[in-house]
Amino acid sequence: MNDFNSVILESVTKSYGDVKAVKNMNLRIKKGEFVAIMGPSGSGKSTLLNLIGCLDKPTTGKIIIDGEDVTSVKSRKLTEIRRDKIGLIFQQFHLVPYLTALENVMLAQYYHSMPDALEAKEALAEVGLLDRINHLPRQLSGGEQQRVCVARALINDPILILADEPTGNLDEKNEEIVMDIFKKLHMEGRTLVLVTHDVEIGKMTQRRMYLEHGALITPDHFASHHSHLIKD
Amino acid sequence: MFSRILFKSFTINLRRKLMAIISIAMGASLIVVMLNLWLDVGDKLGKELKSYGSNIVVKPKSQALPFDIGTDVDPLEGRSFIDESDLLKIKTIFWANNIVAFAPYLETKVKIDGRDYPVIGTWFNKKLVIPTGETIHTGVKAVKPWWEVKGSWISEQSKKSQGSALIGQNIAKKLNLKPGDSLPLIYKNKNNNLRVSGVVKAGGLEDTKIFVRLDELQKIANLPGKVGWVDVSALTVPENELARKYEKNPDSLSSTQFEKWYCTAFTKSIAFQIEEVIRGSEAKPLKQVADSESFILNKIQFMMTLLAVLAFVSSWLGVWSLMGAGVLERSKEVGLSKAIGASDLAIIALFITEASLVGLIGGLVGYFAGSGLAQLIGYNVFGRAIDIKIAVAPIAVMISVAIALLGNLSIVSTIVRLKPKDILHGA
Amino acid sequence: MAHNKKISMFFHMLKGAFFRRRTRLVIVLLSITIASSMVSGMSTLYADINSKMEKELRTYGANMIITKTGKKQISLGQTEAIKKYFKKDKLVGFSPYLFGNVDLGEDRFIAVGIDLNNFKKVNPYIKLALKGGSYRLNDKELLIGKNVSINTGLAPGDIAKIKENREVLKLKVSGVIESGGVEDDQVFIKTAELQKLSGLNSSADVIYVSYIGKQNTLQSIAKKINASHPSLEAKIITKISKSEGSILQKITSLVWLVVLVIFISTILCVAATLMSMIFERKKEIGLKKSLGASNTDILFEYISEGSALGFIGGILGWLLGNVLAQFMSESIFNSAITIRLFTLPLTMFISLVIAGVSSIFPARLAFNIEPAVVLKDE
Repeated sequence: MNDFNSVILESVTKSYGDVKAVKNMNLRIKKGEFVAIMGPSGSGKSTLLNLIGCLDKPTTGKIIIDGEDVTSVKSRKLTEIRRDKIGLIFQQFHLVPYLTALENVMLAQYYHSMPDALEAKEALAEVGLLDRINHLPRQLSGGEQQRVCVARALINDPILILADEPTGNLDEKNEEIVMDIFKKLHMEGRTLVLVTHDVEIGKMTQRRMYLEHGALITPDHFASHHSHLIKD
Repeated sequence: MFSRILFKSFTINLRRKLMAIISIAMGASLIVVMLNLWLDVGDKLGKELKSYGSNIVVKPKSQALPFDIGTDVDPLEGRSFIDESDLLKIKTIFWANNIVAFAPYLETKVKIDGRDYPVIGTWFNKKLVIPTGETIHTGVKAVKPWWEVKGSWISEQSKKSQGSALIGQNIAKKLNLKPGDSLPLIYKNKNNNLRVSGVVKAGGLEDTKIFVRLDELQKIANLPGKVGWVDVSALTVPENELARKYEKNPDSLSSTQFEKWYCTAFTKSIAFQIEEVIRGSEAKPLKQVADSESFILNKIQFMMTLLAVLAFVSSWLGVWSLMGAGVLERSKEVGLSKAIGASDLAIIALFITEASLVGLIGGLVGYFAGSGLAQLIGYNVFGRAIDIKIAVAPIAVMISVAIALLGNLSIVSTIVRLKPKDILHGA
Repeated sequence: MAHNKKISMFFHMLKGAFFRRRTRLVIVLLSITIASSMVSGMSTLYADINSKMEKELRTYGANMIITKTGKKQISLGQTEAIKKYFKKDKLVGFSPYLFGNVDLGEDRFIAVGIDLNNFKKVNPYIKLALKGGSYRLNDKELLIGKNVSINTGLAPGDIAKIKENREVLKLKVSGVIESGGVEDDQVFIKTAELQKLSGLNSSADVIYVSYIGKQNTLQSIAKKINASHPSLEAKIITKISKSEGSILQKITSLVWLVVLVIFISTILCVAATLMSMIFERKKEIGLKKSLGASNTDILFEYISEGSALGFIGGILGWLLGNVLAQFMSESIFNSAITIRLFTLPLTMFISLVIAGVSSIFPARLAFNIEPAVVLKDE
């Protein structure tokens, strides 16, 4: 049964002092799923993403990524797991300003195993940036920078791709381009988890999970309480 | 509202502000140290250079200084003299406070064991009450600080010192004398006896002379109240253009220039003032000491100036680069402020006020730290406190504020031109 | 083979950090260069100050005097023998004086037989009294002291008749000199001419020496001379020599302390600058960590950057520092510095340490950076 699940959360709670950002959460994400985690700000989406993305450890509960229990591993091991298994994409396109697009992608390889310019080039080609590989971030548009981030997230062939509001800073056109890439990745069989507050984006995914105050709620509950989030 | 924003803005990122204040304080304290030293080193070194002895010689007009090459000439025959009573007036001239010490001399020859030996009557450490009522002690001990005496000095104030003499080490060796021995001599065919109070190691021609109390020599030579010449040790300032102008031609100075010259402690002007109070005298700077002093002091002052400039430039470059290093962090604040609707003017006003505060605090801290450090250095080198000049404080603060403002302004002008959107959405 | 790829990527990143961050880099490099130049310049200056100042203090003139103990005057042979006791490069002046009593018109004056060049070197403060003439002493010429000129009315260009016993010499007054001391009452002629006048063969009554050296050096030389020439007495002119020692010590310690203060202040400023610049790269650190960089990786990267900066800045600074020291030496002492090799490793060491330590501290703070926190922003 576990072999089919990329992510398993069992009774996971994350507290910051007295505040419980994530409350007693149970969820499973199957291999190859394209899932959206939705909710208003403060609902705990980012915290949840951090937990799944091995950027943080739960206060209580168990987290299993790709069959491996990551709950109480040492920080160093957690870093390794994240490095090997997870690709991260953020709303803010974090690129090293003094490295080219190619080098930024190779950076992920560098910390993982071995930089390989050819592979990096292919990754950039996959996101349609073959003619921009030697540009510096300041020479790329917002959408292009985000695409470099996507290529970087893919380079180590992760089992899980996590994206936190990846199109939040992009205009409609670039949003479309990036979402198309995600759809393509999904078709290639990758597991994608998208955090968003945008219902339209959510509609592009396979399954949606709704969060409120750190806990999962039903779609109807979400619809009735957060109608203001629904774009017209 | 402005003050609230200011307070908030200041306390946010306190660490950054603190670092700015600390680095400005460091730069300011360096300036303060250099300024204090620069202002004081001339004075302190000048005092140290008094160890070279007198820099002014006073003698009767047109009278040659005695210089014996071993001939039979009586040094006192046919000479003119200075009145001892005039000597007190040296401490009444305009630059009286700069007169560190003075000693009068009267030289003659005596016969000991058939050979001639020079004898000098002088003040060793005489107590004087000058016209202002002040009591001073002056004499050869103060004028020639390098003298080393084995045995004891002669003290004019004690009756015991009558008939005593300090003899130069060469004479002591030649005549096999030590402190306590008696020294019979013949002066003008009359027998006399001196008691050796001490042997002086003067280093130079003085080792071949005998020194006695001036009043005793005056009595024996029948020249009461008369003095042959006087050594004066004065604190002076190095020569400059004005002094050189006077040297070239005293008459070339206008009356204002002359007044300025008179009121500056040049060796020549102090000598001039001494001539004014001692009748029939001629006071001249002893070039060996006076000119050398001037030369050395000028050199040291120049060196301190260069070091000060160096210190200034290097530390402020450091502070500047530190301020420049904080550009990006401030840009977000600016973008945010602009997005909320703050005008460019408001933002600039904020930065200027902040910078001024940082500069003020940093400058004050630097002033105190620097003054303390200057004192430490002063004690270490000269064994004395530096005169803290209050004037340095406003200078240090002004420079600090200027640097803080400059450091921020160039950044601000670049930032202010940015659009908030770019900053908030950019990487 | 595989290892090489990693190394080359590392250098790629280093290069990128250097050449694509332009203004940042310039600021930092400038700071390190300035700090290093302070280290190199100040240490060179301090190393030199003692000997340069010692030389300047010779402006006070002779610090040693050699006299005769009896009536027998100093011979030429003795003069030359004595000179050998002094090291050539430290001997500023060596001037024998021969004395005589001469008549000039109605008055008697003391005549001093000298070699003018030597005389000038042991009496560097004696100048021409500003009454025209020149400070020179050729054959058949006479230099007179200011008071002599006043008493006799002689001026530069006049011919004077000098008489000692029966001998008479006609000499032209070349100049009038002034010292404020006994020289003002004396006349100066070439030694050979005074010998002719007095009929004596001897070289000198007294020798004045101006020598660069501390009191004990002078004392040991005096001892040697006294031991080998019992008819002579060599003595230190305590007034000059003793003061010199104390003044020298004060000036040197003053310079040392000032130099130290400048040193430390600059270094602290630089360290602060470097640290604050690295603080700014928090995001970059967070990003790298999210990509799997370990704390060690981050530490290593920043230390490498710091070291490279320290290395380049150190060399540039060393060069600049020597230029600065040379400038100061020329303007203050009119002499060149000696480039001291020890300043290079000293400068490099300090430069690398500043850069390295300044990289380590913020990098260590990077240990605490949670990528999640930094990447989520604000």
